[in-house]
Amino acid sequence: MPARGTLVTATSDLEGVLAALPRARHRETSAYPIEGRFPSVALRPESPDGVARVLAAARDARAAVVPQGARTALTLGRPVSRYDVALDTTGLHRIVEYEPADMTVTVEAGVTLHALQARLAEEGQYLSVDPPPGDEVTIGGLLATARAGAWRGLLPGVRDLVLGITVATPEGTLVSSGGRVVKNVTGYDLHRLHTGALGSLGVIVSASFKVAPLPEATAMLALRCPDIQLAERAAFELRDRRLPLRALSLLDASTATTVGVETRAPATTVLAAFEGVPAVVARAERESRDVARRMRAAIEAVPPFTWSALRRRAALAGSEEQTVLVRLGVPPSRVASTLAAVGSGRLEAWAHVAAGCVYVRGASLTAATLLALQADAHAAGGFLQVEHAPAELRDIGDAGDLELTRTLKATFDPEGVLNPGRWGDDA
Amino acid sequence: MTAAPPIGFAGPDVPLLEDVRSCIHCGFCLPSCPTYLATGSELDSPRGRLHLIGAILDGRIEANEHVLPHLDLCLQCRACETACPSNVPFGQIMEDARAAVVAGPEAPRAWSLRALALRNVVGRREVLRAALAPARLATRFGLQEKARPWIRRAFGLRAPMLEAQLDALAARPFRRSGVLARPPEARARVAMLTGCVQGELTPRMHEATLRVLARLGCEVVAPPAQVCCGALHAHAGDAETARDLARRNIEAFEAAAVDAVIVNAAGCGAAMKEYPRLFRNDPTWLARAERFAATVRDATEYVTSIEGFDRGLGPIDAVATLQDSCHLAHAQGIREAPRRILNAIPGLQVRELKTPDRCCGAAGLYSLVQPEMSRAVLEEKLNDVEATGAEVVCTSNPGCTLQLAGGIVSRGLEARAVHVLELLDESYRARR
Amino acid sequence: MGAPRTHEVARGTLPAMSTSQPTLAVLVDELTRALGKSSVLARPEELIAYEYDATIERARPDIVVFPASTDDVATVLRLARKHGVPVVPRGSGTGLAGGAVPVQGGVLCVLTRMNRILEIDVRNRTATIEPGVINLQLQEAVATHGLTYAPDPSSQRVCTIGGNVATNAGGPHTLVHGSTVNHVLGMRVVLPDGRATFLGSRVPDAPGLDLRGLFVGSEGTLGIATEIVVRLVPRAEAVRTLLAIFASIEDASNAVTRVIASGVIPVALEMLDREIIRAVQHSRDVGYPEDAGAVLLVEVEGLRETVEQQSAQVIEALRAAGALDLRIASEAAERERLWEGRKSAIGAIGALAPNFYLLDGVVPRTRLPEVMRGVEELSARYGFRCGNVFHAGDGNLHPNVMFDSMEPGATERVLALGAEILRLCIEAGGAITGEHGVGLEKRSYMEWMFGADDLEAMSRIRLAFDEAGLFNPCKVLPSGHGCASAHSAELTHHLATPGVYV
Repeated sequence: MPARGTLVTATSDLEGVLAALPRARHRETSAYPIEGRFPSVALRPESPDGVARVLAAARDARAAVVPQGARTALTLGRPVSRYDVALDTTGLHRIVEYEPADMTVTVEAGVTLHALQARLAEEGQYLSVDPPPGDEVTIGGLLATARAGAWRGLLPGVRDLVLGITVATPEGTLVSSGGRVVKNVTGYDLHRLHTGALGSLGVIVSASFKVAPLPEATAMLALRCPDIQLAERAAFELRDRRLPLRALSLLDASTATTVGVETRAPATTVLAAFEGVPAVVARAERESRDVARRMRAAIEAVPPFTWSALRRRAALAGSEEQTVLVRLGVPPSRVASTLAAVGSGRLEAWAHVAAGCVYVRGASLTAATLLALQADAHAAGGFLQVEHAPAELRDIGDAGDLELTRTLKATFDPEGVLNPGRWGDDA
Repeated sequence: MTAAPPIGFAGPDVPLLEDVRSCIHCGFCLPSCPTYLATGSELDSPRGRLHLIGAILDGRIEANEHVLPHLDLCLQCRACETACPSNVPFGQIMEDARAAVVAGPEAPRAWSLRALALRNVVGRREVLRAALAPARLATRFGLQEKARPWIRRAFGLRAPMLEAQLDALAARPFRRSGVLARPPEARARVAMLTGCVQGELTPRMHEATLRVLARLGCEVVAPPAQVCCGALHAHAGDAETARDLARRNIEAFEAAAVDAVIVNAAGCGAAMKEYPRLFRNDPTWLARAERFAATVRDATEYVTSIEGFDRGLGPIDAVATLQDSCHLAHAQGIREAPRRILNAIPGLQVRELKTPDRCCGAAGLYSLVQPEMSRAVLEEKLNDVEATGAEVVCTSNPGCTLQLAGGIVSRGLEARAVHVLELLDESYRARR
Repeated sequence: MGAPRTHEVARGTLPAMSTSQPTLAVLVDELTRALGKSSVLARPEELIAYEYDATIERARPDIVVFPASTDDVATVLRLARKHGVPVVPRGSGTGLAGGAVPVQGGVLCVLTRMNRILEIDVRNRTATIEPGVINLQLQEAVATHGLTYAPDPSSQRVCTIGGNVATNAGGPHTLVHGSTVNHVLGMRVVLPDGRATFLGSRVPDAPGLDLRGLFVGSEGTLGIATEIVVRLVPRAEAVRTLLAIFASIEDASNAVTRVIASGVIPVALEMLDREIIRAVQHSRDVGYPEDAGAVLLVEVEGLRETVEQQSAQVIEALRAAGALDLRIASEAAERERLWEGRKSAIGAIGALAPNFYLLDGVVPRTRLPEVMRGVEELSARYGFRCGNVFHAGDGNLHPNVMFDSMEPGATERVLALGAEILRLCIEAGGAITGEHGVGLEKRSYMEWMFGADDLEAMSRIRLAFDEAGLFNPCKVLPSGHGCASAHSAELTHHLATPGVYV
């Protein structure tokens, strides 16, 4: 095992090293709290090279760096064990290359999804992702967390859309993999390894994506079903009719009410979104009404706001420190039973059916409840991820094969510069 | 070519390097090969066998007891030729390889013995008839039923084929020659290959073929000088005997001056259409063989070429399925003709097998020489047959018919195995 | 005992790992005890049938094993590791980059007997299968449930899903559906040290590092997948195939861009050039005009309404791009006929020349016209005929260079031409392989695409999984990166055996 860096105690040493960095603009450290802690230094480099130099300097100073963009998902994974440098990636804000006819785009990591979608929309295109909490996330964060929303499972996820990336390494180098062509099997797919790696192996500075044409028409419907069984049947029937679904979600009563679909338990809401050519969307609406009638469900169109509100529920604002939010992965056939097991007490629960993704949210979630949910998920071949929780609950979440993870971490970041402790690697 | 003499290959039929080289190793043949499907081993695949043959040619390995069994396990069904995108003449290469082994001084005893038996029994009608005579006599007294348990004990995996053959001997053999039918105002004059074992073991096939041809207005002759087609000899590596038989047949059928030579055994038809391959070193006979080959027609191919063959058919109320005989589908490329015939029969429900063109394991002498693999291949085929619920299993070759008949008995299925033309004949007669 | 005379010839100039004979004898013994006699091959005559894949590369393994379970695979890997012997995994041996050729000998782990479909879960639209299951078998098995497994490499009748996972295989229909990596949810794998683990999950987006995504496409260098959970997709309600004929390949290339610009992403967009059209027509009449410069096959699928509207858009785009003739089919049999020419193309070339070298470059779609022109000029300069049949929709070129390896120097010149074509692809912003993989064949080209730091990062991944450097050595990464013994020898294509590429 390579030697680890020791914790920086003398702030001035670190600042001395980092002050020498020419283009990395220093920021107020107070703007970068993470779970009550503040960094010694906050930097906002404006080029990929700048990021690489920050990392090299931090390594020399044996400092721990936490890269951050829109700062919406910093509680994913286990708490960082050290926090010396806040590396703000929002200075990397260029769309590097966009060739609409190729339907590929290369952007820097600090570009917000909102800015990217706006640019793509000018050409009638978009990146088919809808991560929580919304389009304010940066591309770097989107990739590092690989978070997905209601579209996942019906549309490709960010891991399917990334064609190549460049990352800055703790050694101060820039490393690329993949490319900007839509089909490519040259070399190891480092871009997939960094997707969802929570910034623990390198700092993503730019990425290329495959984009899609914007759908001509969309429709968003809510089916308020009398109970969860009918809601499940309605959801699967919609799915099995091969309609052009882009989202298919089940919401318990409290979640539905929160996002603007007034209901009372045990009513369960099916939220469905369709996209495609106008004729097909019209047919989807017709068939949805048919399904609703047979499931004794009230059906209504919902505004886009309902979806964005639902995305917000899958993330937490700073003021909600004590709220627990977990994401379960279970096979679609187990989604309804998982929702039912959670019950509709003081918790909110909702699910995206196609991806088998169930969110549970509430202040009253205890370790015992999480362990029980996790055991059920494991029995079904799934997992539990803690998205937000006080530190003491964060060890519960799954994180894949930790032995390989720690080996890779030690290989790419032997000094523990990047996000130390995210994988329990800085014990 | 000036390469060192290959170890283990000898004689005039050594496989041609350019044939072997035409394999591009893509592997598309693998899933078509019954033995590869059974063992999952490259050594028992067409690509692997070609590679072994190539390595023997290169002198990298010897044709020894570790290599030859893999060549011997080949059914020579030629399904790999259908699958091959590069048109590798696999059947030719395998026959050449076997011939080049048998011609060598260190040919395995079993291979030489097999060639010897084929040459002296199958190749000679009188000997064949004499050899079968005691068994035929026994069937007169119904002894085959008594012999059944003993056969199963003594012959194990080989039993189904032997029982089927024994059962077949109960029927009167077809040993006619000369002019067999002469309808008034014949539309064509054709000759029938009567073959070696067919007349003895599957006489009804010949009778049916003859009736069908006559009904369709053909004058049918069977030149008395004709002999066994030589296919089994060629497959077993006895190229010399195969050539000898081919020459005699070419002479016999040339003398008959017919429009076409009709063959109801797909294996024989394929061999006769491919006579020119035997004479690649003999330009005179090559030319004659080519002219002759052009006149050979499979019986189903010929029948369906006659306008109106599908008229005057009576109903057959049954579920039927079709086993594409390998040497019809893969070697002769004929798949439509037998289907057209079956589909023309009123009342007949034809249900396709899942893999109709996969070998049934008969493969000439294979069922006797490689009983385990033959049985494994047969069992797969019977599963396929059983799933269709067929009451009649049609083929285009006597070997396949016997193999399937044996399999049907051993599995206790309510079905019978017949040649496509037998069913056509039944249908014509059902009308009367 | 038939000792082969050219035991080491096939190793070419790659470093021979030459495991000592006594070590091998002990290993054979241990493997035989663990797996049974019928699952181990060690005679030279038998090993020779495992010295190839579908490329020109040849190297003989020292031992061939046929494991039947995850435990068997783990045992093989542990025993081989104990003795310091390399291990190379192999499926049907249809690879087009030499990935399954054991260049340093050792144990070849053949997975064809692990061919069970363990589960088809219709409600959850997944299947769990062993690595030796044939791609088409899986498609057929799930078809009865109205589902399909989308990746459809041209070798799908033969290739195994395990091999598809290794190479991240694509196919004509990846334009919309994506490659293998987009369809594998999780896998049980045995790592090079013999430890079994599960990567991914039964649903997407498992937390933790995406080792699943890393493993798919790692060309059998990070371990052996022994159980694979794949995603199934519903079969489309309607499919329509359009065949357009163009005067020139440039017109057809421009049509590709126009179709995509119309806002439609077809499920397949395939191109055949003049040389291929002639070859196909030569072998059988599929109704292509022989004087056509290029043929474009376009397929759209989805709900009936989608197909109606999108095919109208496609037709308009094709006409605007100068299509000389258009054929349209909706019924399965008719569509099959339109595809016939495409599917028989490779075989048709096989009949035109003794050998052909099939390339696999990728370029951004918009650069197709100029790159195609470049390919034509280069082929002419080298004096070879070259036919193109490829996945135009995703810019995945497949130039087929026809040659005769018996002609002195021809193979070397073909390889040089291939290298120049791939350089052209890189210059156009593309890549050296879109679906076949780097393997042995293209590893020396890796430096054209990646810098030293990039390659260093890749070789660290390799080391993290396989510290000993004994697992499928000398593949993917160029010399000096993860090859067991340090060496600087470049890959050379030896011609000890009849050499043929597909």
